[in-house]
Amino acid sequence: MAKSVLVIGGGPAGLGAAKALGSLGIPTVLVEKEDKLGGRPVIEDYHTLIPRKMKPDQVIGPFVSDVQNNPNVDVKLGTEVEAIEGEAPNFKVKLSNGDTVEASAIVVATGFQHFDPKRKGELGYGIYPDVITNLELEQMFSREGKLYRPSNGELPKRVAFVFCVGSRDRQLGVTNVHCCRYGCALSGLQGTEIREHYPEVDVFCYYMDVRTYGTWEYPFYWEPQEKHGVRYVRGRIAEITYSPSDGRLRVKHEDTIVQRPSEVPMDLVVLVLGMEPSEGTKKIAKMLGLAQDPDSLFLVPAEEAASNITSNKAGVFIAGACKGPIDIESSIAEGEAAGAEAAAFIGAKVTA
Amino acid sequence: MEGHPYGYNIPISEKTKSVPWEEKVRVIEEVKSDFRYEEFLFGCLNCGVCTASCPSNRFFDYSPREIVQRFLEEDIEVLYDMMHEYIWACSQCFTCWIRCPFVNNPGGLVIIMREVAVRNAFEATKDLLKPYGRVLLKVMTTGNQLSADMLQPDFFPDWGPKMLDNMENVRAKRMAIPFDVGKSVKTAWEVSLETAIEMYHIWRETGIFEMLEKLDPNLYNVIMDIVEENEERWEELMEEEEEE
Repeated sequence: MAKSVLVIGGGPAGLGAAKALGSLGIPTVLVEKEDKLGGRPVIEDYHTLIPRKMKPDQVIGPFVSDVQNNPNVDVKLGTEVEAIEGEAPNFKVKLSNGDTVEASAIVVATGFQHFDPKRKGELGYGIYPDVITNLELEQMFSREGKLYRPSNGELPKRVAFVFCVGSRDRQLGVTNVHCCRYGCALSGLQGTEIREHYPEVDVFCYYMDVRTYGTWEYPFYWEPQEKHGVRYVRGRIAEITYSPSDGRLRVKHEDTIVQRPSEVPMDLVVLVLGMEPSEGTKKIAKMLGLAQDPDSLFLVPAEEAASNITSNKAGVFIAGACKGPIDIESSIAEGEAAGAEAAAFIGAKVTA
Repeated sequence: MEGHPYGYNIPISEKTKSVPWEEKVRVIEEVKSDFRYEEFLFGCLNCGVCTASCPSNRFFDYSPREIVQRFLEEDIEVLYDMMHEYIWACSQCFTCWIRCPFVNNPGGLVIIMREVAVRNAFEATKDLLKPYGRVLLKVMTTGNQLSADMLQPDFFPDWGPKMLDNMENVRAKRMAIPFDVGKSVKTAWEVSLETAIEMYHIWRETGIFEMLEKLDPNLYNVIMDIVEENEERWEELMEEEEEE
């Protein structure tokens, strides 16, 4: 029997891996629990992706069609991994559809989930309709093509972005102390999009620090404020309340640069959500005995490995957001690298 | 070393300036050597959540973020100066603590500073505690100073609807309290002798009496009269019991 590779997860990283493996002529099984390939950006209808400001169809679309059309890749949608037995190169994998797959190597690309903002009660999500998540704002753009206040359907006059919701926060325990990496940049982009289409809307970003690292600094920090008039206020939002007198929200914070506490009216508040390992990531980690960060429970590479896609288990490679917050394009690149590593791994066994 | 080590242009009171540098260092070291200190202070990003959440900040020149920042900067002069007046504006609600994303506890640091100020008989402490002599007398001798019927909605205009509801039929509700002294609405000052004696032990063991002696010698004498009288009564009762 030909040696095959199992890829768990059909998001950006899993698609990158499956595409690389398929094009190398290696029999590949791609397992995706949703009924559609593409992962969060496709299933949840992200509007515009950082950093190249392209649409999910442009970035992920080609990978989906490539994988679906490659005869070497067997795509199993609506399917989950139920049990994994054995060691590399003889994994026996039981799937939820009853199939058993024999795999010589595994690429884990099980991804992340969004932070549930209801856990930060003081921010009023789920209480006030005009407090939304940045994902819901993406969907407002992509599904409805307009910006509005959920409470009355009108265009908001003032929009606030609340950075670091479910990130860098010890009040939530040790699980959410890390930085989400994408939030600052995406908020800069979303703020820009609002200002481009609705120049009359005032946009405020409330931050502790702006982490548009590397080459993201210019397009997602300086351009939003210098070219598009997005206003940056230094101070983390402490509380969001509602005033029945004018039907608007109030955001409470201290402007820590001018040292002034304030409570300002807003029509729409966008919570910038942190990232957590998905349930699938935690499940597969347990099944395979993969090393996890003790705090966040994201997967961590083997200590002695030079490459961060090498797990602590021989023949198991880890790619994308299951290892921690990462942008979509890097996730795809990690998937491709993991696919190549998996190919090399089983190739090494063939020649041995 | 004399003067301000960081050179900030912060108005420091004449009182603080007149104190020798070594003394100021000693007092702040006393704060920092408290066993709670390292559980109350971690890193700070100056995000301002504490100060934005702080009710005292709305009415007074008081910012919990500034407390944290001064400790992290080890700003001896300013910290010492804060102990005279600044820290007494904190209402000890600890919203700063339950909101801080990095679990610093500015309100807790204020507790330690206040205790050190009292232990060192800061002049400011004496002035600040003067109007509370009656409260101290009641609390230290009986353990409480309020009876349930003293809590009237008229005095507390900021009560929400739930609190008003709680205070309705308060007598019937308090009858459900499973110990005798709790069943009353008028006699909260009447605690059992046994309870009072236990409390005096706590005051003695934790150095509260010594603290009070330095702070207000007159009040200390009044309180000690009551304490000693109660303790004598207790001893007599114990002797009677033994005889039986």
